[in-house]
Amino acid sequence: MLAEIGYLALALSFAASLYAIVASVWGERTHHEDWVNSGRNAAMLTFALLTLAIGALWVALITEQYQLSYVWSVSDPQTPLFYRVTALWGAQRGSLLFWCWLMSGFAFGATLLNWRSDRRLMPYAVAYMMAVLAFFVGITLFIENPFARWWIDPASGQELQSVFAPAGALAPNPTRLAQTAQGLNPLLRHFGMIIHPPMLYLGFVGFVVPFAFAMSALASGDLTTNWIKATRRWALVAWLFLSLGLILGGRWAYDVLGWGGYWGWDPVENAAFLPWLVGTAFIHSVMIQEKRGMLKVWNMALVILTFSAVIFGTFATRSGVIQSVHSFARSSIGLPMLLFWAGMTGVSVWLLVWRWQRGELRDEHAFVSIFSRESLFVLNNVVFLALTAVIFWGSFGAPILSELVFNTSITLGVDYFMQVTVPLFALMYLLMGVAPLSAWSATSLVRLGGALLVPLGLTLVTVLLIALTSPFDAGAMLAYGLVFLAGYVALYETLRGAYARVRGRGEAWHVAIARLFGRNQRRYGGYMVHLGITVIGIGVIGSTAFQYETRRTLDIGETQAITADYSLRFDGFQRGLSADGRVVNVASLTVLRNDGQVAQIQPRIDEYPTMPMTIAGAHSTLEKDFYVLLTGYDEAQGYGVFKIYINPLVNLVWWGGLVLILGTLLAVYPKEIVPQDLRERSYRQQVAIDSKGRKPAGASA
Amino acid sequence: MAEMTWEKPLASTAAKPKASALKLERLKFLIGGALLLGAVVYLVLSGTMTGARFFITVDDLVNNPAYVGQTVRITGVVLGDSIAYDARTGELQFTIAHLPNTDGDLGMALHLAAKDPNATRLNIYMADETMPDLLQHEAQAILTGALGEDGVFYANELLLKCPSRFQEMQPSDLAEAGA
Repeated sequence: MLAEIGYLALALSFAASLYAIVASVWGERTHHEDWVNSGRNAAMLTFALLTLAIGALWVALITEQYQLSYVWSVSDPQTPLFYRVTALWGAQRGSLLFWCWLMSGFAFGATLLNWRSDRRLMPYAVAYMMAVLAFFVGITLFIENPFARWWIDPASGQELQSVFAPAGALAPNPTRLAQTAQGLNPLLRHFGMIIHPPMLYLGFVGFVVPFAFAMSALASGDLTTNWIKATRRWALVAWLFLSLGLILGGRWAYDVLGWGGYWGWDPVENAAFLPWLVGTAFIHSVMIQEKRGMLKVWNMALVILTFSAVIFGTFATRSGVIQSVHSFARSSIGLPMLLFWAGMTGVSVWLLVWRWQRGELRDEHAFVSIFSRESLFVLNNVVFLALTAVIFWGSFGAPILSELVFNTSITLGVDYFMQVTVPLFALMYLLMGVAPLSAWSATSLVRLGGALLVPLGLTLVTVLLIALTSPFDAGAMLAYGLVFLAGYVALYETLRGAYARVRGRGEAWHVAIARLFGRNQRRYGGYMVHLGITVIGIGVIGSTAFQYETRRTLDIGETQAITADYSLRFDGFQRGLSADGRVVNVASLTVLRNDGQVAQIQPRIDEYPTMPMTIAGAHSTLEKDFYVLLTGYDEAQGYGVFKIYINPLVNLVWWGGLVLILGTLLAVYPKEIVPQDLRERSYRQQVAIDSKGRKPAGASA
Repeated sequence: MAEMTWEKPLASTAAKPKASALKLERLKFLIGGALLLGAVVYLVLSGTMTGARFFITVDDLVNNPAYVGQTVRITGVVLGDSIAYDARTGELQFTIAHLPNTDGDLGMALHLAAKDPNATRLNIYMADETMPDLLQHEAQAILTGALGEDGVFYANELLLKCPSRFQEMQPSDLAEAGA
């Protein structure tokens, strides 16, 4: 029954999304208000239908309906309830449905919240959002259906997969199904992996909203900044989720993949990073259009590129074409997805070129100074796009091109990425330090230098202190300098603003800071995000340049010095069977610092029926992680072998992520919500104006 | 809702710059842009030269002496019985078999390659390695390293995909126990 309900809801949502496209475009082009409204309603209905579909799959997972082949492949009777719930996105088919549901949720939210304020943009925006949704629902429905069930053909004894029973087929024995069920991939049984995919998906689908509104602006001819104002928060929310998804993915790799690192320049990681880079360029450059009426074509191009990167990232992860630990199994959705990507990008670029050629996207100002804020913002954009290009080239461009030209695949290793991206990231941090101090339109070099004096002085002192207290590494010191400069500028600008209030209005410091943030959330939220990126940068430099690793064999009871101040004692070893059927091998260790006990850690190896999982034990402080993997043991002889990593400052990567989240939330938080009656009055006025040029509702019947 | 601004006070927007000054600024932008582009192209080219690895099969590697000593990336299927790991030293040794290029069912290709007695085999040696969780029979291994004169491939990077990720799993024996 659940399969039928889910399938029907999915099929209806596909039909509703197609109808919404037709009704919205037809209604808008022929000025039929009722068609436009009908399109909107259909678009909103998709969310309800997909909620029903996803609810059916969730219920099937929780109530162990193993006849559904998806449930059978991602859970088994030993799977705890929590992992049953998260198994929804544990494999391709369920996660595609989950993606569709999130996409329809975003479309629902954007339609609901923006319908009245952005009435002119809405019909085409709805059509674009529904086109994307229809595609994803389509591939879920026709290619990767999560509601397919197992059937047995009694004649041949073959197992068949189909939503509805093929002629003469019988349902398999439920007990046998439960016995053979696969269970969730052990790699996915981790906190980071539970939250990482939804965050990444939210980031990906979130960027569809600004894209849809931008394309609607091109299609409808409303080429003012309305589309930017309507989607500023949507873009920031998407960016926030994407950032969170990337950070949590790093955390998962750090905890689960057991190589002491969090970013491996893997093609699929990079594919998720590309939309983040272009999206970051986009959320910076739209400010120039809002403020100065410049970069209109550029912003459109960026939003198209962001969307393209999102679909490409999805393709890279889901087609199985790319060799990676992160990708799904090979799937036949690759080609349709590539065609969809090419089609959507092609139509969007054509729309942009068409408006551009008609001269409707002319900038209102020209660049007058190379050190003006707008110039530095453009430079920031160029750096982000350069990063995008070099990472794309390293992950996909070089392998694909060499295959086409030389008939041999050439891949680029981690050393390529370290060599090429580090200078660009350095430039990014430099711009983060300089750009906030420049003024719009024109800034003299002298003035900019003067503003930089204090943060630069603080940076030099900090770097000197680091150089005196840690092993000297010229590259790392330069990197620290650039990263700290960006952070100090953000702090200095914030404190300077607060100081002006303290002096000018006699406010207490905490009041001044609170009011400063309240009055200009976007600016100070932005500074806080910069601060978060600074903290992440400090963590990345520390854990990359100063990582220490060693392998040690310890007898039970033995203590060994690991570094000058740290030593490790092997206390014992336990082996046991857990409730969910895995064999757990746990080593108990004591971490000592200057002979004083600082922590007890338990690295372990969990043996699942399909594979073992090495789980690190770590003593985490803000200063460093003492990260230990159990790599071998001999109970009879009483020794264990451990791989030990000391990762300085690695926790700043996660803490910086938290600062980044708070900063983005501050920038996004609605400060003044227009009262309901005022919004309705303005809506009625708008409808009255619009209806002069339109046929009244119902006239089309 | 009120839109907040991200701004510094507008400086001298009222005074329109002269055309000649604009031209000069445009020239500065062009030169700056060209320099930046040049720098990025240089970075990519030099990075590509140092980071490039041929991605080849076991047959390609073994049959072409030019590859001996050269850092390459290879792919093959892991033979489970050959895996030997010394946890004390971190020495990991195993054998892979040639895996033909396939666009079809990779799970099946891995299975057939592992079973084929005539497939070219290659011994792998890795020093100071943590035993990878996914290293098992019929896993696809992607290795970076160089072939030594002794015919052993000395790898320093190993990426694995276990066969279950490729195969559409079937509930076996359902028919006999079927309803």
